[in-house]
Amino acid sequence: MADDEDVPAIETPEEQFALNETTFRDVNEGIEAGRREREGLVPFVCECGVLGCTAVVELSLGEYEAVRAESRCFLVAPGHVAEFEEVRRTGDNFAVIAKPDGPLGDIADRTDPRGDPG
Amino acid sequence: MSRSGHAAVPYLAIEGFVTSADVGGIRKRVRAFGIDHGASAAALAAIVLAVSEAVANAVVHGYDSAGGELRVEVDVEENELEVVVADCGRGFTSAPTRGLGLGLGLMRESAAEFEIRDQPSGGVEVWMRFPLDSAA
Repeated sequence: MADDEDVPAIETPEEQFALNETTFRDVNEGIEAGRREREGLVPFVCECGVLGCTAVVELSLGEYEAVRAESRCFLVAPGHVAEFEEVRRTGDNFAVIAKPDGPLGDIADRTDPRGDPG
Repeated sequence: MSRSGHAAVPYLAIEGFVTSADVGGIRKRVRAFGIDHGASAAALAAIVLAVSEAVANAVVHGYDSAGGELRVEVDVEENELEVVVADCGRGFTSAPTRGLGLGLGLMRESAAEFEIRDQPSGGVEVWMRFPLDSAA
């Protein structure tokens, strides 16, 4: 369970959207950590902030690690891009979006499980 | 329920054919196990929510709501409760199924640690860990 102090205060719908995305990023970190078969395509959940999203996207673990290299980047299904997000990559199977500077980028940084806790 | 070879570790195992009608019963057994081993109210709430979601996910997504073989294992070590929910269903695939992401998100938010493990024989194994003394 997340400590309250780790959960950013939410002031706008866009910030709630960003926080939802961080939850699905955490889910995908659990998928990656539990993956025994390291070759081939791996199914990950779409990290868009729409709570009812059911999309699953498949990519290699190498491609996944490239997304995770930047705390502000998220993996989404094609077309699942919000207007306030920057598209870093688009493809047939998935897209990579980045949170902009400001509160949304800060949420992505502060909740990154790979980030520097200090 | 104890398992041979795990005498020193409190252990609960539930195994068999499970449908959506069994989710509540499994939830109650896991909750009782948590109470017996000192889980705080906050920990119990998190455990029960996560286990319910994991079992329901297996029934609905692993077996397309028809139900199937399921294994739930719970143990306590060093003041932490670990849960494994494993099915032999269709596995975690790219076919969209209603509510999958939301259920996984709830599990992840509830547990201190969380992994989804693929199984060579097919199906999905969800592993979660909860501190028994967590505060609300």
